[in-house]
Amino acid sequence: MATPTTLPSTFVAGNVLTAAQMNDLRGAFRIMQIASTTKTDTFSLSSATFTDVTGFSVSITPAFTTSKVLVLVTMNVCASWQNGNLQARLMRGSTAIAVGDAAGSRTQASNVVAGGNNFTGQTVVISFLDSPATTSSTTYKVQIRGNTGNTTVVNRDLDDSNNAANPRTVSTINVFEVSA
Amino acid sequence: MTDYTLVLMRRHADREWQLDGDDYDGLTMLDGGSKPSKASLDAAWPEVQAEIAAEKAAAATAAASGRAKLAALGLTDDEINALLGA
Repeated sequence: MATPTTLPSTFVAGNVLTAAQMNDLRGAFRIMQIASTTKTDTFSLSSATFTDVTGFSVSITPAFTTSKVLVLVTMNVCASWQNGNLQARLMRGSTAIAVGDAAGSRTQASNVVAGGNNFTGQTVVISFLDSPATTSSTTYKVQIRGNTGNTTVVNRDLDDSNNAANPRTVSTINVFEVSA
Repeated sequence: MTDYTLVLMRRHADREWQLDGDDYDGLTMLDGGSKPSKASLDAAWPEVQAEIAAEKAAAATAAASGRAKLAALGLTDDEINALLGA
């Protein structure tokens, strides 16, 4: 990959860039654009069906069909049950991406967080380099599921009584268009 | 203020639902059934708070009792803490 290390520290009038320098410049601008969403409110779910986390999506319109999109997700959760887990998956539109291979009846997920402590938060982290192959607006979001009767919360602890021991947190999705 | 998440978790454990934010208006039932009334959830909140407090107290009592029994067997506080991961 080209790097900007051979570029002159300063350009002056009359300079003509060489092909190598132009390639270096191209390499210096591999991050074409950035989009981000930060969810600051809470979300609670009791469902065994993958469900969108409300207000937790971000859209980006790639400049080139060859571009990659680096997706970084950090989501703070807390799950209520002792013998189960919270499953999360990254979505591009209605398509699950960044999931494991199909294997029988097992759930294809991006990340799993174990339940087991009613009052301790955990973090779902997803990092994925996507190839959307489009120049249309593309939306990335996160879905979660647990079990009926078991509750998952986002950006709060289950014990949310009004005192300083209980946090309110944020969850973020950052997407970066990276030129090929 | 009612914690609708905890009330739903304890009083409607057989239902599927989501809650956007903290307020009752953010509640959506995902199983097609009717939405519990705000009044019924608000009325259940003091009971749920009392349940949680009782569970915490019972857990603390059980932990203290367990420590006392281990100490009676001759374990030191350091040994008990090591066993319990404290």
